Amino acid sequence: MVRKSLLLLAFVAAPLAARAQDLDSGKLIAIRSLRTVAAEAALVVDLRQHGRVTETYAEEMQQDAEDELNGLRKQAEKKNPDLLSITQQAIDAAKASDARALHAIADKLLAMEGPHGRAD
Amino acid sequence: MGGLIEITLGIMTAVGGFVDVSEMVFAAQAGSRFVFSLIWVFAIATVAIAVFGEMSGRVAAITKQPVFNLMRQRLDLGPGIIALVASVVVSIITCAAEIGGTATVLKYLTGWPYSVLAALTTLALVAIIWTLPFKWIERLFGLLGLLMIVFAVATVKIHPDWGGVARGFIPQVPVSLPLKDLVTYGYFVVAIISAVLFPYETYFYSSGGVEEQWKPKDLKVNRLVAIVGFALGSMLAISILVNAAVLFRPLHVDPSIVGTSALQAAIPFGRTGLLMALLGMVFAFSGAAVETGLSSAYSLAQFLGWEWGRFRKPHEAPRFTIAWIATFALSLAIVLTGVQALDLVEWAVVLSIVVLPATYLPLILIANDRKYMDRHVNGPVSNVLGWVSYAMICIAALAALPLYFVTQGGKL
Amino acid sequence: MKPNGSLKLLAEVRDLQIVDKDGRSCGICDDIELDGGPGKLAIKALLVGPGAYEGRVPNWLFWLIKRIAGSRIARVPWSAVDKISARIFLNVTAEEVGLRKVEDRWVRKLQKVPTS
Repeated sequence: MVRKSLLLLAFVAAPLAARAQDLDSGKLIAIRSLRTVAAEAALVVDLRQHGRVTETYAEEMQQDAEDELNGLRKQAEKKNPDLLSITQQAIDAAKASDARALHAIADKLLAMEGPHGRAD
Repeated sequence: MGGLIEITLGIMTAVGGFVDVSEMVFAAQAGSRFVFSLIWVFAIATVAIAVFGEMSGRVAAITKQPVFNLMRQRLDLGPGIIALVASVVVSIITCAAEIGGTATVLKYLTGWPYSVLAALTTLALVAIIWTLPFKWIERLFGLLGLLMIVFAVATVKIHPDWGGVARGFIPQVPVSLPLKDLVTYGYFVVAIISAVLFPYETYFYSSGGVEEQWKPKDLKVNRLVAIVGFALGSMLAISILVNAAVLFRPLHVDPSIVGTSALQAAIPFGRTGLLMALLGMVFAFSGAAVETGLSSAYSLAQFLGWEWGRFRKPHEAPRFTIAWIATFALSLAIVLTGVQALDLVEWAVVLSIVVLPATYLPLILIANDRKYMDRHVNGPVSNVLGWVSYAMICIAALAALPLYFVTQGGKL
Repeated sequence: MKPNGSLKLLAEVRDLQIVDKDGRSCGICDDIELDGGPGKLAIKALLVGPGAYEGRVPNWLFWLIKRIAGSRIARVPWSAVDKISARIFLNVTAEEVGLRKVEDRWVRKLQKVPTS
């Protein structure tokens, strides 16, 4: 009974998996990851400038965001070289604490996600 | 009056202890990605954990045995050993996720290095468990974890669409979503069920019942604490989801950094809100680390018949003591390899749901068995809710691994 | 249930926690030794220890368990059993039937640790 259920599930999951891969999931994940880190960094910079967060928190969060972006840059080098430029822009904006630039990058990446960006 | 204090403390402890690092992560991402459409999953999973929690407390009070002792009898030795190994492995990974989460939040408070904070957190938790009696271990973290209430207050402050929130409680599948997003929605359903129904909750709860020597007369209190405590705790998790939907989604944020969720309190309340949120997270996550660390030792000791319990001095239950210290040591070792807390959360959630059916089946069978429970067997409500919840767990368990791989851990 | 009552299933006794007359945990009943023939089987002894897993788990698993925990077996005569409910209660101390050897060894070791 368990074996039959597992077989049935594999039947359902396999075409689902294949279909999902057709839509270039790897790239979508890369764009989404980059988008949210840029947006999170932008939010922290904004709140820091308005005095809504502590300096320690802001410092550590910005460092975490930069580490994430550097990690995404390494992945882009291997898998999605067309994302390298925008990733580097995000890193530069994060280092410069440029909230406006980070917001713009996040907006651009959201548009690149297409219908998966903000499905309502 | 003393009874009322006990009940209140019990409920407050359950509320403060409900949200751990995995629930926080999934609640926030669920809200930012899918607005209110995953609220119903939290609600249904909470009904399930309240039902199973009440059952495990009742089993402890009547049989004077925790669930894991009786599980070996029900499952037989071979399957029981597999369930034991699986639950210990899941507990260690979950404990590592909670220690990692705690250290990360402490880093946002102090600016100290992550590894140092992870080591200090582990040492502090070991010292607390070594010295404090069981009841006070539970209460310390549960009550201090109540600082998390700032998230619920933030929800009120930000005036969400309450009609939309209410509609989120209705079970739904957002069929208008593109296929990829629908598959990810499915992954979130499974992940939320897993995060709410972590097995360590019932192991810890039933072991606690034996530690505190519950009797049949304590059953009403047990039921009240289970239902009210879990329900209110779940409201806290749902408030994190709602805040993310209202505050993060318009800003294109799907929290991928642990500290981002604390901004839900910073945006409406500034630095005070931020500090309350961060401190609440420290105690909620470290409280969960204590529960998972101890539940690993409870499982081993109870399955193998060792002396166990924090109501005993450490040397009176020596192998149990060594087991929980070893769990913390192994968990710290995992954290110090540098693997991200969020990755540990994903693995904990996926591995846990796969073993959930083996955890909860013996519990329902034992709670229905007059040989153990006499006249305190499950009533019709417990049975219907229990078996429906169990069916839900089995479906989620089968779907978990395929969904994890297809969505790459919900990132799709 | 008392020792001279009839037992319909092995499952009623096997894998239950054993508690001695002083209320101390003495391990789990890992297997039982039977006596007699068809129609009149009786329990002769409880077997406690990793060695008793043999035959109850696949060979490879027993090999692994032996390497980790050894293969000792303690034999608790049926006459030492007082009553059985959700646990097996003995009418003797653990030491009298060779139980708690490992536990007590660890108790002595841990007693040397301050504040334990």
